[in-house]
Amino acid sequence: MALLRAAFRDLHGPRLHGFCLLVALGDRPAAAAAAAHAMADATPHLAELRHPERAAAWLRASAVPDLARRGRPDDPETVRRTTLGTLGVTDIAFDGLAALAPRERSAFVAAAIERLAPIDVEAVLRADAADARRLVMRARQRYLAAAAARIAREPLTEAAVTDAPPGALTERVETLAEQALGGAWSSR
Amino acid sequence: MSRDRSPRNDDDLHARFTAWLYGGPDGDPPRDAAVHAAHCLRCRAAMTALDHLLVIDLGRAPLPPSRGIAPRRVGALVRPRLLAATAASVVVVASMGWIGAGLLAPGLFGGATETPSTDQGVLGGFGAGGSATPGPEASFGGVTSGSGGATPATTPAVSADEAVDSATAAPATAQPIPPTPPPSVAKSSVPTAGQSRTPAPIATPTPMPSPTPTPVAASPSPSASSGPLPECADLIDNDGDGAIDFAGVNPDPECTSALDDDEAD
Repeated sequence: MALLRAAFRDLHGPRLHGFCLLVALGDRPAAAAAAAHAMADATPHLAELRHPERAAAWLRASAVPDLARRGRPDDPETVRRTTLGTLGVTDIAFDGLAALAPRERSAFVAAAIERLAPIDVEAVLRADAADARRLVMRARQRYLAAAAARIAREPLTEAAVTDAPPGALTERVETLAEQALGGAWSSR
Repeated sequence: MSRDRSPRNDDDLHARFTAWLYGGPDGDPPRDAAVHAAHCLRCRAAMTALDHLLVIDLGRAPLPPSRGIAPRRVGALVRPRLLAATAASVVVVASMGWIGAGLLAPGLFGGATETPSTDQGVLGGFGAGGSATPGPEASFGGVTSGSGGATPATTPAVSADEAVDSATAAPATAQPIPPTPPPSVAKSSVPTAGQSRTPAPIATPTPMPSPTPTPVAASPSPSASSGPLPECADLIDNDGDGAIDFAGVNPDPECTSALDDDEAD
């Protein structure tokens, strides 16, 4: 049993903690407490939580109410930015995530960052399909509005665009545009 | 780039591309929208914003702490709801007591004019179950009646539920024989330390209170009467977004806690 518990913790612990950090917007005490409680809650159910994706959704669903209930973060913003920076969260992404309510952030992180299946996102949010979809869409809109506003505050030069992280989405759209124009156009 | 693009067509393409992004950029966007997006700065900003998410790796987080963390009690998860439900049920039971008193009055005391005494009998029984010592001084945590600035020497803090119980039981415990202070007075006058409680003088029969339970009693404040519930705990969709309150079947994401008084933000 102890072995099973350790394996479960190793398998799910880091990503669950990462999820909590993102939803708590880098507030380490809140994230650690929520993740630890969720893991502890899961302990009696290890036998039922063998499917990794269902278990991931279960754990997140267990942590979300804790995270949503938290008020003011304990860590100052600079510390939170640094904390999330270790996970690869840029300032632009931080500002976008900061524009979301905790529950929206949970939905957005589960759907757009962790890319959980819709059924698992519903489980995380404990919502039905329509509500979950609506919440994810609203979160995506608000994230994009805030992050794009942040990008717009900086001069959006060609360099700023090309210096962006290897953007699979941008590249995909550019490739599509290039194909549509018969190779006559290129952004770079 | 060389295409002749009218602003109206651009707006349409922009809207279509944005809709594709909002819906979750799975699959490919329409080609004409992709061509638009490839050189629209706003679309590129939005794509860049989403691309920033791709470098996030949650697996880099450390393991959460494990020592000393016990599984949460179930009560910890449902505490706000449980508290509200408990308070509401206390109010309902109290109301039923009043109704029962009204029905029993003629049989017990042989006349409709005796209603107050009967009320007291029923509620006294109900209240006595909750308070260990039915003596006149026992209610309200030992606040001495008639002693002016009475000090509640060993008085524990009175919770909302206890306060409602005590207040309901007050007529029976404070004065064993007939008088029944109006229930509304009894409920709204939950005592605080230093407050003296002089039982109302004997005998004005009071009208039957409405049995409708009011959620106001759910307020956890010891001075239980009070103002409206916070928007995030009032069971109402205050901001009209279809989501209701902090906790519930469809909680409102804008509510940061049950004490948040603004569902809209």
